[in-house]
Amino acid sequence: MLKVKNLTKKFGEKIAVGNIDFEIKEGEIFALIGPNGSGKTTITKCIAGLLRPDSGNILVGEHNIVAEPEEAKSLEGYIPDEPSVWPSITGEEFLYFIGTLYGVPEHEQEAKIPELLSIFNLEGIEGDYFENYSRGNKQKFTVLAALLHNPKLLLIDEPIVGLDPESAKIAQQKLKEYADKGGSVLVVTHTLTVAQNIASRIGVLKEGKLLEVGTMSELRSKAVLGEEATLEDVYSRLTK
Amino acid sequence: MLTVLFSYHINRIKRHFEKNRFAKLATVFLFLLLFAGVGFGIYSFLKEIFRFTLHDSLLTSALTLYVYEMFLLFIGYLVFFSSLISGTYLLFKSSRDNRWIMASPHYDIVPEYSYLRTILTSLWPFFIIGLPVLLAMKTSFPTIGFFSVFVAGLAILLFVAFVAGLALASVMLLAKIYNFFAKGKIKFGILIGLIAIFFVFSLWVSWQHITDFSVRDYFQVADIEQEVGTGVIKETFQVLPSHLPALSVWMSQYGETANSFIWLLATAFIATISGGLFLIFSRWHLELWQKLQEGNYVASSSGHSRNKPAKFPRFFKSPLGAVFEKEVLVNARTMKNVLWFGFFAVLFFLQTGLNNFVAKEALKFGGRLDITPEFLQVIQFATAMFFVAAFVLRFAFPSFSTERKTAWILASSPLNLKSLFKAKWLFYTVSFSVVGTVGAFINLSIIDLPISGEIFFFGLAILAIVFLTTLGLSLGAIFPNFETDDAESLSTSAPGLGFIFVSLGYGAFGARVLFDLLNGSVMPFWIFVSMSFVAVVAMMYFAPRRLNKIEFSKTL
Repeated sequence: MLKVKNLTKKFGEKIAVGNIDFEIKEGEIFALIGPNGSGKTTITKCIAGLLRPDSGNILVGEHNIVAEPEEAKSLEGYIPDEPSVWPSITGEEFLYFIGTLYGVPEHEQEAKIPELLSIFNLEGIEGDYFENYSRGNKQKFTVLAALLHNPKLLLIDEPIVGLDPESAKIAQQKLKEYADKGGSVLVVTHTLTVAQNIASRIGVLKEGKLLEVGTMSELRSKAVLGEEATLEDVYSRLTK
Repeated sequence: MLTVLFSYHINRIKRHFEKNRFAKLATVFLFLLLFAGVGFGIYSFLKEIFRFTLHDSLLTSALTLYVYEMFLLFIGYLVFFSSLISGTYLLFKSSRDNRWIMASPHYDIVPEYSYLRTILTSLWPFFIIGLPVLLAMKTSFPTIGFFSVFVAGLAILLFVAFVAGLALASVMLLAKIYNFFAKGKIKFGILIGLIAIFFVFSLWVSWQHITDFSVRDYFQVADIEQEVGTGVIKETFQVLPSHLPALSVWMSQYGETANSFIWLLATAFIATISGGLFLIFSRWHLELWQKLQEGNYVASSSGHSRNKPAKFPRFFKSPLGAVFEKEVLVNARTMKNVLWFGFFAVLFFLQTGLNNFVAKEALKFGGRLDITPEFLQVIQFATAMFFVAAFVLRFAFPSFSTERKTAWILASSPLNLKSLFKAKWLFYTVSFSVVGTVGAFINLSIIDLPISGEIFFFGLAILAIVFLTTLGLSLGAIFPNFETDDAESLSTSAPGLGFIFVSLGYGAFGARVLFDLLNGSVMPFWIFVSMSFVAVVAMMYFAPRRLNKIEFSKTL
């Protein structure tokens, strides 16, 4: 579903990410982990079409994000780490706006939005302005907005930051269900337990380079650690 | 603590100049040049009036007093309204800076800081209007000593402090009264609404008062045989606080420094009272600030905080339509935008009213003043273009830059960003055209012109509005600035300055074309129309393409 080939992105002279290669198949959850400034968010933004790669290719389905941005983006759902939305728009207006932007037919929006709101028990506050929502509720609305048009690929930057424990559990559950139905997910996170719980494969980034990619057990063996080792142990060993 | 806060802001300004220092300094210099140009215009205008009065000595005393009264009243309006807006936000809007201070043991510094900052930021009318008035006075009446001018200048400064204090005290008092009647359930939006109503009311009261005074009856130019007295002017303006500094300036014109000083003291007295009142009222600040934050917590807690969820109207089913409606909702619901729009609209209609008033009165003097309806129409056109440019600069020009934090929504969607440009263009063109058309209609309703003249005026005005809006939006799209999302700061960037110069030139060109047209020369009109049309089409073609190449997300 997603092919990233030799992706390089520079900010001025600084190479934020260099020659990154990875793929995500249908029905797969892929997690990118790494220290602050390692390039996780930059990669996600390049895939979402928010940043233009300096070199390399990003294929979403069959579409190149640079050459065919509209086709590629219509397959994606993006959830940023900072849920900034126009403060004077209500949650419900935001969802309808996103639905129209992605070409979801009106009757489908009418049917789906109440269903989505019920996932995080947001019924009753959907008419409040975004500026009045807590950070967690803002995050929940951006998650729902990304799911509204049934994307083939979900890009999530820090999926549970700001969510209460119950909502965080629901969010992880929904991601698994989404992948079970054939959707692909790229998760970028600092919360290693989340990556370990939901990801089928994990990429470890450091200073803009992809150090290792593999399943949990593959990473354990690369880090020369036993089966009991957690992702935190593996991460510490690989990024040392 | 105050020193810390001010040094923090000074450091912010220093940091602003660290990157692209030369370009930024050049921009500041050009802006100063522009302000100096406006100031010079006011200076030249006043010098002409003073020169006229010197030739007609029977008029000198009354006419100069009238000029000072009107200029100081105008400064008062400007400072009062801008202080109401900025003061309310400084005092009560929970910015990140404010929260930290309100959570600290020095929370009581916020009102004092807001007061001083409001005074400082309200000084610009002094430099652009007040100083030219004093300079024109000094050069027209060379016998005046520098000390007299200094006293008069101080009186104007104290008047600015008085008005800023009055505005903040009014905000605090209104919030307190609102809190009392709403039993503590107060909302920022409603407070802003009350403040807007209060401003319109005070404007209406003072306007009613000064229009009781007939300039024409008073200055019967043709019939003057003896010196025109100042009694009625003083009587008319004495209830307005601008009367005190006006008298101080007027007295200094005659070198009566002692009398001027007395009126300066009177101005200082009212400035102390307004500042003192504000400081007394600021005891309520903490409680009111906390109450105003509660609205957010009530809304964000789970439960039904609104009776009925507001629904996105969805008149349009296409992505372009959705973005257009988003523009309407976001702009209409952003209080600060609405207030600034209202401020400009009030100024625009004030000048329209004043123009018509002057036109009506002046035309009755016949040939003596050499003013024709055509000439007035050209002046009105130029002024209208100036206001449209101000609207565009404040709202349309920064509209792409202010998307910086929300850009991810549009930039990660399949929407072609050309549609974003089109949606914004539609929104701003329609809004400004409505305001411009209403203004033009009021202008034309007074002056009797043949229908063909009116059609040309409307046509030219709409074309110029479309051109200026497209120019502002295009420059905003081509040179987005993601360092800040403060629209006022964005408007004062180098491209903003470029917009000002181009729009001033364009407005002057348009006025000249209208003048030629009304005098029977059609060719310049067609050149103007063709050029505008070609420029609009070119901008509509190139600017949206540039938008597609912007990496909005670099700024997040």
